[in-house]
Amino acid sequence: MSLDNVGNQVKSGIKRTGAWLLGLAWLGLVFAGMAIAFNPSPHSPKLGWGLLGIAALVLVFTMDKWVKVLPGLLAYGVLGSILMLLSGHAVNHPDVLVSKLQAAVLMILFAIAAGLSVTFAKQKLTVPDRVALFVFIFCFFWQAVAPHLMILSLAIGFSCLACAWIYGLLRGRLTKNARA
Amino acid sequence: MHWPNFCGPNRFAFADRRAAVAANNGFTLGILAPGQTWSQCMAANANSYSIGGSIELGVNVASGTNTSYSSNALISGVTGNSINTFISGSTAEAAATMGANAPGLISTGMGSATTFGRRPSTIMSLNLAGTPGRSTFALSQASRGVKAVLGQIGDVLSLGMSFATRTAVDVGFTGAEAFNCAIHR
Repeated sequence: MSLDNVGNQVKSGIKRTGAWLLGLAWLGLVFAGMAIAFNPSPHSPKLGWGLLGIAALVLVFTMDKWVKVLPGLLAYGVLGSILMLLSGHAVNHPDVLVSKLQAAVLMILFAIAAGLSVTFAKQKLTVPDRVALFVFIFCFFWQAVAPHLMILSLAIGFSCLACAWIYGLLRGRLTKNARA
Repeated sequence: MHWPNFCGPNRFAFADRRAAVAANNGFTLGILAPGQTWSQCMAANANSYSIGGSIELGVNVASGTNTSYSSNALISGVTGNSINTFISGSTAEAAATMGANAPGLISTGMGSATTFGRRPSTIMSLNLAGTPGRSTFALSQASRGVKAVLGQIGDVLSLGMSFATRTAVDVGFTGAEAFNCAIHR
């Protein structure tokens, strides 16, 4: 193996590790924002909303990057759902019971979302794609803050993703027909 | 002057005192509680050794809050550690994971040159020993259609490097947890 190859691999590894660490930092930002904004804390809720605002901006401006890893993360969600189905509780939380039906629904939704997001990862994102992806991530965390609205937020999030995918499909066909 | 007798009956008492001094420093790698088995320790600390759990723990300590968003079913599915669940969970769960990874692994091996003595044109070199001509392939090239199908299934199930990296993070967490659970507090 040449030195150039080794150098490129090291650079690529450092870039990938840095990207994942930034992703984890973003998750910390979201958790901190949610914790301070929606729960009793020594800090002002405004700080929490500020952190959530920063996280939202980062989400929007880095969408072209993270959309490429989204399918993998959602596929990991399928694996987690299978575990929930088999164990009857949330992953790493034996105290949080999850019914077989809930786990099966989550598994199907994660699988569909992973399949749909593969399309987004391969193409240049349009405005409807960006809106749908933002709403999907927003709903993903919103249902954790308001568990009584879980079904509603899941329905909105996954519908947006599906609508953007169908819109992209139809637009692609229309463009193809126009060229023909 | 009195020297402690390290070889006499008091040698265990001395070791206990030394362990007590070490514990009083406030730092220990061990998380295994007295009377707890290794599996129980792994199950009890699984959340702290996951992406979501560890980040939330850090946030709660830093911000003085007490939340448990990582216990949400949807969030735990993505940010939870599925690997340490296999270690302290059932073999059926482990089989499910391998089922997801298998198509990619099999597809990688199919049609790869695994020869001795002969060399195919796919191996590029100006000076190769061996008899020229067709060589044997792993699972033969007649299975190209199957390879394509497996490739597509593997793409959907494995979804490239992001899935592998996500799994690697959990493997790292699980390794740390297994190590720490092997040491008493």
